[in-house]
Amino acid sequence: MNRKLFVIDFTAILPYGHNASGVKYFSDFYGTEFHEIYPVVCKALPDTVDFIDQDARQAPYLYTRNMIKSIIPASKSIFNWSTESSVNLRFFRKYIHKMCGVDCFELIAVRFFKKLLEEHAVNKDDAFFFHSASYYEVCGLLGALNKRRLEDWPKIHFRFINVMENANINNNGYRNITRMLHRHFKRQTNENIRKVSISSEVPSYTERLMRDTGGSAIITPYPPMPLPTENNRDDVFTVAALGAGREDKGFFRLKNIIDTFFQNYPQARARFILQSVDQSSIIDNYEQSHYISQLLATPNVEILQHTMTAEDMDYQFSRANLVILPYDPVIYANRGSAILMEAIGKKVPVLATKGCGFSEYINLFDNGALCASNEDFADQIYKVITTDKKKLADKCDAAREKHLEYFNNYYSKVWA
Amino acid sequence: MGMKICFIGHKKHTQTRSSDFFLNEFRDEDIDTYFIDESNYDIFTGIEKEAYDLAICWQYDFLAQAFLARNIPTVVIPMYDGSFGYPRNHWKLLRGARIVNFSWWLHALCMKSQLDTMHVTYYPNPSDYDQVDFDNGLNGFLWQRRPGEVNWRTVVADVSDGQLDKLHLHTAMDDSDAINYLPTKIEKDHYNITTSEWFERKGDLNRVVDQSNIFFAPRRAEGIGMALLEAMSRGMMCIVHDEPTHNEYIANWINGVLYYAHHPVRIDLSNAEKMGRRARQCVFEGHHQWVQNIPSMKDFILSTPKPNTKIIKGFEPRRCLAREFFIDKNYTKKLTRL
Repeated sequence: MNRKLFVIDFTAILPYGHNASGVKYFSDFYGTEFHEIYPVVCKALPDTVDFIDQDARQAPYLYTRNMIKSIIPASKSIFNWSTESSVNLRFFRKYIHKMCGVDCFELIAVRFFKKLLEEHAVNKDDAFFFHSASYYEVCGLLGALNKRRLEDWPKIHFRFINVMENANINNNGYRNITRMLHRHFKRQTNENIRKVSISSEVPSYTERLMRDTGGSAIITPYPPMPLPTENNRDDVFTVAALGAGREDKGFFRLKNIIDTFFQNYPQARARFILQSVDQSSIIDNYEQSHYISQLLATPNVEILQHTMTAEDMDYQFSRANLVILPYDPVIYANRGSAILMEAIGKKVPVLATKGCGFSEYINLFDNGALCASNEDFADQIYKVITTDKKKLADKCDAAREKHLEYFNNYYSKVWA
Repeated sequence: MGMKICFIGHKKHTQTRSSDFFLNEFRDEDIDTYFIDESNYDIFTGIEKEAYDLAICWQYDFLAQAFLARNIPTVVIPMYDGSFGYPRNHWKLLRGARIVNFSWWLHALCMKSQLDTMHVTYYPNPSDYDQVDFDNGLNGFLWQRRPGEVNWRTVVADVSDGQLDKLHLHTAMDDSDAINYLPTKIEKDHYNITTSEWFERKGDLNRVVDQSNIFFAPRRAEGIGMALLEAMSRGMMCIVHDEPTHNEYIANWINGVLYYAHHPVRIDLSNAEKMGRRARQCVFEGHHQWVQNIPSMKDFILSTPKPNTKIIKGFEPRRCLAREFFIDKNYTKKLTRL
């Protein structure tokens, strides 16, 4: 009997970011455990993402167009009902929902999974893995399997990262997901068959999921990243704030941190490289635009593009001596950080805000420090600069090893 | 010989030479320069005879339409002081052209209009300038180009408030017909103000500037801000109105000071030397970056594709014109004269 695994991500549509690369990573990671692997990404994923096969591009795009409007132009044609570009589809969807209470994107998701199950004759030996589960993926697959007997279900693992769970027509997807899963876990307990399992990226969110679904959940951290292809560090200590700049990622705190650092430690020789915000979206906001122009004028600051390819990101990591993550602890209370995990994988120490979902990893892997304020960030940056290089490198080596061990330990439990 | 390029710039730039640094980078190409002013937009009869591979519109962004309609690959280099206030549809009319922006604010605006844009920051070579000294007190320099925007009284009475030992006032104005606002003899003696008028040679002006160490930006906004960049290169403390491109070069209280010229307040000049030296250091770093970015900028410009005639020749320009007619008649007038 051939065991098939479907690694699915409906949101893998952008040529950058972690969605498409996540599908590729987990397809390879589980390659030895299954006979056939079927990665599934959005059908509009640009061809430039050459590590994903054309056959894998089949999923509909069921989310807001804000994220993709720069790469897929909107279409107002009445003949175009594509989920990626049609403006009319999104317009009528709202009215249909108001009139009948039906979200047509849910129907599209269910239909997609029914077709997939039928085409591949999916049976109980097969499995589905969602590395960053979204609302429509959960409701689509559970809806498509609903009429099957539980024992005939394939194994399903939803890994939640607290990003796309809410993204439905009312922005209350998380509540609906946990209700669905709650009902399902009850059914699993009654029939004593375990088919669906869940996990999350950070401990705090895992606890919340367990509480809300009434089931068990495990922690599945971000996969280990390869070391940078080359070392581009020079004699100037480079502090990097990577990942698309956003307010919740502390982008608008950075100038204060930099100014405080140079004010308190004028003798320090350091350079800051910062990934920018989406500049076109802030030009109407005078304060934010002024902030960027002031960052441009600040000495020892280099501003990078808002979006970067994996190669560019790899290059920036290869320049960095330290990564800072001054994220908002309220918004990130239950979220992980791919940049943190990349930094661990690439052996770069990290400073992050106290109280974020991912902050515990820094204590656990001991590859940096947590900071409570901008002053604290400035002090800790100086502390890292003055730390013995060999000692720092040893800590980063140990953190990478710990992460690998931790990762293998938890991911082995996914299909248990 | 490389591409045949048509470069359109403002007549005034033949005097200020503010586009020379850019033109120098294209000296290997076959480039024809046309420096025109508002009274002479009718250059297209001459241009049409030449088969240009590329047109570069420096500051005259609205001329791009005429090149695009003639199916010539077009690069536009708008300037913040001239173009930031243009209506939204102005930017739509530039679709099909490539834009090179020296101001981040314009770049963001172009990005919002989904134009093919690139942002570059120019810094001159600071080695061409000597560091000014601060041993002989605080000596201010103001080129009073537009007295309505920044004038000597704002500078000596409000901003420096008695901290300046001397102020040199260069009085050549942008609009030579306008009435200048000059200090009286009593005021000159009281504030220790010296004055000069138009110099035929730039070297004469440079000699005057070299004797000062505090630079007051003469205008509220700039396209690039050559005067400011030269002052930063000299290691002068720069005091500038808080508007682009000033605020893209001066980080407040780090390498200079930003203020509001329409609401001036006293600025403490005790750290002038420190800020001046930091400004010069910024120019060293910035120039290094600029030199590194030149190949990508040239590549971006020289690889400009032919415009999509569907966009250009459709009714969009006319529709935009009709819409703008009710908003900005002067703007429409400029376009209809092409």
